[in-house]
Amino acid sequence: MRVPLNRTTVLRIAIVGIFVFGVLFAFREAAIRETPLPVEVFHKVRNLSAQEREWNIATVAQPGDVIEHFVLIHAPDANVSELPRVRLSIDSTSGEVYRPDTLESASRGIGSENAGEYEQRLFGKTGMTLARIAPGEFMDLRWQSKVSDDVAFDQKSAPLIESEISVNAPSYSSLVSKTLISLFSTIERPRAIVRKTIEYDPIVLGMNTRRTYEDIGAGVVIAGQDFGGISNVRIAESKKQLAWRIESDEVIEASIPAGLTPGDHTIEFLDDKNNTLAKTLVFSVLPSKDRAVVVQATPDIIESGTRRTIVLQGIRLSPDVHIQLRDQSKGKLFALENQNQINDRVLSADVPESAASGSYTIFVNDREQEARLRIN
Amino acid sequence: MRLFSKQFIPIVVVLFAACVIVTRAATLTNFSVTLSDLTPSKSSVTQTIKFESISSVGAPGDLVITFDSAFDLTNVAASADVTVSGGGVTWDSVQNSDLNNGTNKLTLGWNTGSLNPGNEVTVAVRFTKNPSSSGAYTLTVSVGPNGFSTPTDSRTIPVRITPSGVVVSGTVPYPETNPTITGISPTETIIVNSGGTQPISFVITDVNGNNIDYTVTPSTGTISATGTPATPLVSGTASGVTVTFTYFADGATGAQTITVTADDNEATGGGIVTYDIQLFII
Repeated sequence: MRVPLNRTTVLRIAIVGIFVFGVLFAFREAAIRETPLPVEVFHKVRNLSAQEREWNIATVAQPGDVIEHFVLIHAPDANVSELPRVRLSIDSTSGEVYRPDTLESASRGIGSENAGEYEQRLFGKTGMTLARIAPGEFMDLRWQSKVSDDVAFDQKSAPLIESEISVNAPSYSSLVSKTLISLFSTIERPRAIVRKTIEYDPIVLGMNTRRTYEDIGAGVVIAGQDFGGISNVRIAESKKQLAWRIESDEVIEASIPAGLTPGDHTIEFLDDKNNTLAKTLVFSVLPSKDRAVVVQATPDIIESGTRRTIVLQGIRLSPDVHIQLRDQSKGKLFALENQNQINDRVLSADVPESAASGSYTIFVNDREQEARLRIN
Repeated sequence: MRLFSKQFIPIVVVLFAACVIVTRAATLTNFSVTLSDLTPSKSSVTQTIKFESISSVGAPGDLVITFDSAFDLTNVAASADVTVSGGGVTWDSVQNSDLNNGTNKLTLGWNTGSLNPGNEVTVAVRFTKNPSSSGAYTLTVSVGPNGFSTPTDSRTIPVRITPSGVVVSGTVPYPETNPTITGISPTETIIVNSGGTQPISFVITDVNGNNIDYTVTPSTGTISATGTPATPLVSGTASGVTVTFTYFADGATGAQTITVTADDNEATGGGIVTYDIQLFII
């Protein structure tokens, strides 16, 4: 029997529906608010005009001074999965102006040549979005700002300039980190140079990348603080020293050598007193012996609807390796075309015009690779 | 009666010239100015000035650098962007007020020691902006006692601003042309000790100014990352973009290569350009 719906019933159903939707929405928002973003954010400053070398969460400055900011967003090793679409934005109170072309990032390859591309987004309303941060990996940012020459002083209180970085990711609450600059009078600093003895207290935080291959090895970037006090970087199990160099007080470049056995390995650090730091870094070595491996596709994001040449980097990439792409959602396989070997570690190939949008896994001779390709 | 006969005139001229030379400041030696980028209107340019004095100048003393008025120094915060070293003296810490933006003069002082002849002084000034048009400009360096009006040593040298690209009308595009990989630094063949590290750079240029995807693949050993800036290069390729990375020689020894590929993604005009950087691992 069919019950006729009159106007009152429809209204009741609508009210109940709106109520239920509202309750669910409130629960979801509450859940998001209570789920903290599983990253650590370090935001520190130092006054370059005052020749400060150490990073602090607050500093003092006078009008016209140059301030350097350092931000490190670090996903702890304990994270079970990678964080997708992490968005950063930076906001400063008036009185502090970003200095163009000073944005840098060792982990993202940002330097003076391409800073302009990122700085508008990062310091604008849109913010900057990272595709992902994997467990144990990090993102670093460094930039300079200038305290305005005409910043006003209030006689009754010390003026403060606040700088804030917000980190967001879908389904998590926002994480906000702040630094403060307190302004003092325009009396010039003494001209005499103060000599300081620097006490190092190195701290290791994260490493990009955490995966390498037994036949290839990998160049990695390690982030932390006070790296001037690091005297050795080595594999913990074998005590074999890595090839490494200090890029800055916050970044070390190091090499994971080829020839390690597949599985997990640990990197340990020695300080300038030859003590081993408590913090170690674990990385995985993937098997690659006697097989063709594709480590990376460049570019790894392409547009659909047009034939596109990509470069594949790896090992044993002979002209007769069979390289295919598999759509991760549909499982459909198709082969790359016009394979052209540059040498046994590099080849180029074409993605056909007919390839549909989606995320693709790369297969070499029917073996799945770590490298991915996205067609938009 | 004439005061001088004609035969004395050359002697008088020589004596007069000698007096002028004696009273003029001596000339600085081994003087050079290096700009990180010579392109007109380029901002964030670092100027590195090196020289040696001829005379000894005691403390307190001043070093005055006068930049051509066509250079824009308004973005230079002297306290953070100027460094000075060498000369055998202890330099005062640099203050913002040491740079006069009205006269484009930078005054640096020392209060201890004497500026030693033959002892190189190095001054680096970051965040300068080049003149808007190419041509020859000047830079003058003078040294002398504190607050000098007549320098002890001084010299002016030309600074040339040159466009590295070619100006073309917007209505006449370049034919599609492949990018070039040049400027390998250090000079090939690059010799690296086994187990050591070596920073390496190269320049990718594309006259069309296209975005370029590039890769760097060593035949042995590893590199720190794909390079800085990261691939793809999205701007500035017409005048060239410098890519830097660190090579770790933790692989095989002997003659090796680092293969660089560059693709400007043009439909025609070639395909992927490759260049093998020659290494020798000892």
